[in-house]
Amino acid sequence: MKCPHCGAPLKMEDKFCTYCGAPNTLAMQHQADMEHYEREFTETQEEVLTKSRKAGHLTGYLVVLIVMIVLNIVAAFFSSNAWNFKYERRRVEATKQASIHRAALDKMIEEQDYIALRTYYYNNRLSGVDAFREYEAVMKYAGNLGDVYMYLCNTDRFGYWKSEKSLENTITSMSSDIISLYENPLSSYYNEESVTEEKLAVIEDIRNQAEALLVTYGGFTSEEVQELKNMSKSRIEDTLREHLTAIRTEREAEESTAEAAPDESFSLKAFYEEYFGGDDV
Amino acid sequence: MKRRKKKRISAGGIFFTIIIVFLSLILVGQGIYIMSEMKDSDRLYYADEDDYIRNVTYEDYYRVLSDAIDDCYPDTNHTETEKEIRALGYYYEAATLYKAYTTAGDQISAEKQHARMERFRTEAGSYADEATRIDELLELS
Repeated sequence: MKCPHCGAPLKMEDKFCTYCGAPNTLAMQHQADMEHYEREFTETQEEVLTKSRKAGHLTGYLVVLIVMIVLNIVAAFFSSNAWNFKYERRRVEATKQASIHRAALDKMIEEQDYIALRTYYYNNRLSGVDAFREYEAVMKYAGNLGDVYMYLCNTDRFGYWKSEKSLENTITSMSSDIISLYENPLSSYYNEESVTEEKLAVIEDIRNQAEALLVTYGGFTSEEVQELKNMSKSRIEDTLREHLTAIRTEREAEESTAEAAPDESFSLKAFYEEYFGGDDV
Repeated sequence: MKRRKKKRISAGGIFFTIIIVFLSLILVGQGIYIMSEMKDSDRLYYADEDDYIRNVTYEDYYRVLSDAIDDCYPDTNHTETEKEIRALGYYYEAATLYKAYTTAGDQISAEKQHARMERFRTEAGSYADEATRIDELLELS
């Protein structure tokens, strides 16, 4: 580069000519151009960076959103099928322990412990499991018997029967159970292995136990229980109403007799005499 | 000193954040539901030792039996007290059935229940006296 004034050689960074002292206009122009280009470069860079940052944020949001939607769909599938998964897991567990459960069920049947039978069956989730299908019909009748037993042998029954409404509820529920007890298992949709001769004998034994309970704790006569299978629901309800009301009346009479009887174990007079020397307080 | 640039949040960002938070909450809710469904209820019912003792104290022998029947899982480990009281519950059941079969004149079934009564009286251990109380209540003695 040469000085446009005196022609002396100049360097790019010289602001003035070292020979004539004239300003180096070319260098100044060059510097101005450089600053301009640099500014343009920076602006373009900023613009590109801003655009790419925005695009990056949007992509991030979209990725997270898509992941969340997919996870929600998967979770919805699992939650709507949770019962099926649970049932399947229990079925596998029950099948694994089949020999233990069968031994327990057979022992209960052998000991005529039908009252505990249904609860064992359902609480251990054996219902619907292939290995236990043969017990299905028996369970239904054992359930009816369990309800009859609950109404007649519950230690709290007299307190419950005091209310007319509660007594009527008992009568309605018990009559339904009694009707169910005498349903023909062969006319229901039980599988064949559930209604074999052996299982039908168990069902008959369950009915016998229910009849014995009704005679002993329900006030039924032997003739009435023999007739149960032919009775209508309303007639069973009438019979139950008659007997349970009689039992309740008898119980109330016993209670009022007990209340009226003087309590010899405690005397207020003796208490005063002992603690206050016989003075009236 | 370089001043830190204030970060601006765009309307779109707020919108996406709200949706993502909402989906996260639904996901957590579904997770809790699935966990509880899978966990629930392998055991429907538990009675603890205090429940058993309380029912014996109130002479609510049916409730003792009911608790024993409900808690019927083969792999449950019961305490010694629970075992004794559970046996007492089954004694109540056998005794009520014994009386029923005796009244109905079914001697074979009555004897079967009597054998159960004897077995459960022995198993009732320190609660065997309660078996005598059950006999009194059922007028068996």
